[in-house]
Amino acid sequence: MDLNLKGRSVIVTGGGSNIGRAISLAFAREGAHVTIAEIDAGQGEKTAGEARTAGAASVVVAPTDVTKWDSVLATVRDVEARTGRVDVLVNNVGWTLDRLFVEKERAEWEKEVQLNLWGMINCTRAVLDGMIARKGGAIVSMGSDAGRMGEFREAVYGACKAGVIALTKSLAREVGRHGIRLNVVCPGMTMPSSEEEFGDLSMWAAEVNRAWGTPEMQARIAKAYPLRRIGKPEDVTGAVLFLASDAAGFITGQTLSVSGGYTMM
Amino acid sequence: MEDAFSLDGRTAFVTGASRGIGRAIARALAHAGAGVACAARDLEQVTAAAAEIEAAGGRARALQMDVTRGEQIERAVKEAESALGPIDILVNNAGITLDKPSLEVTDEEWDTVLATNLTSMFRCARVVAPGMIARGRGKIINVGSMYGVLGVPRYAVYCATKAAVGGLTRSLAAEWARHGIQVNCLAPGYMNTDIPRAAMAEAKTRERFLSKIPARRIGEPEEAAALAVYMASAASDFMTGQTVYLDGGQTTAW
Repeated sequence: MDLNLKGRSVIVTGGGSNIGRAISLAFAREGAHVTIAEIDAGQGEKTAGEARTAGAASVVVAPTDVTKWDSVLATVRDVEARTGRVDVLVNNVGWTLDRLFVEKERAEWEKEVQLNLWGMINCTRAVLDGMIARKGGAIVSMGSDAGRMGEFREAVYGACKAGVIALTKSLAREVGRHGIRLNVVCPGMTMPSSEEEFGDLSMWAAEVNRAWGTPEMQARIAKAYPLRRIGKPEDVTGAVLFLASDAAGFITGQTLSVSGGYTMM
Repeated sequence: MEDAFSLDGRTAFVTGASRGIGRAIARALAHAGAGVACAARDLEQVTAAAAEIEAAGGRARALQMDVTRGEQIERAVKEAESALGPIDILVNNAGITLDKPSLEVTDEEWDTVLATNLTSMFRCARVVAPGMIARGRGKIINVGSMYGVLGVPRYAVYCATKAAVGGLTRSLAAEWARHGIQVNCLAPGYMNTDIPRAAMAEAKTRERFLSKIPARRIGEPEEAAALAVYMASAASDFMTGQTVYLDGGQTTAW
């Protein structure tokens, strides 16, 4: 099935590492103009090099702090000037630390809210003016099963992801009349397959999260998934490409858990 | 083009393939590379559906089958497999509706809608699943409805069956996940097919329908078909037990 993404202008936030990297490369293989909006320009460039080889119409790394409105707006205006528009925004930036709610410090909660929720609000707001003016656009945001079902040690993260889902649904109702669609993809626990696939600022570089990477922990998590394995970054690219494309023209306000059957609802 | 969306070398079995959404799904699966067994009660219509696929360069087989008859399902699946190969993809699409005040619905009507919309899906899955389990892979797509989560006057039996499709989908997904089978539910809202089109012929009714849909339009069968291709392809291999509503944002159920 041809998704007709060739020549589309796509922004992937956090597009240098892990899931974001896989998404950037998937749009590149479709021949899209890919903007990797990254706070880690070095990691962004690493992925950009791969994306160019993969066949992107163009690849630009836009140094972006999604928690800062001015930074986000500058990136979006730059993409609009360079490619004429933003057809697709993928809100991929995400962050969490694996710790009990009662053991987390306020600064950690605040970082989670900033990156997971404020980042998504900023980026979404920034692309909407152009999408409304052009009467079209697709926004795909990465949610989490923690936002649908709740998750042990992921209280504030789960709350943010529930916020991502609810914001998506409300906006789907608000801007559907302008031909703009918003949907959410919830990955399962998704591990990068090598150290090359994430930068120092990624949550996978955080010491406390390294515990997820041990073989014992991975085996334990895989058991909780009906498909009996944890996620690979490439697992969600099919859903993201599909929802970003015109083939999903009547789908909006939806949440797809692409998480090996962990959450079914 | 992403290879993950290709169905080259796959075989699909689509129930209710003679008209509307089922026919569009059959066409799209064939276009994506699958050989498609088109099953329906109406032999003339389903033959036309298969001929349409072949005329476009695809592989298809028309099969006359009543989904409420277990022995007909078994015979049709056998015939499909000998003509096209082992079935990798089952699309449980056949369904009927009933628009009637609940107090006037007879036992026979209730049973018929349940047999056609729900029991048939379980039976078709039961016939194709052993082969899928033996080969370690398979895709089952159950066509539900937005009405499975809405409360709609005069549609009690239809809504009940479509809500049940969600439960069937989740249980089969959980049970057969270890065999490499993914089971998902494709749930359309108002689509450009015979019944909604007839209902919306009148301008006032049409206006009332559209005002409830954030996208301000009804869906096209081809859009349901595109979702079916995603659900049938390797692109959705890590997704199972999900219900995806294709309704222009009308329900946005959590």
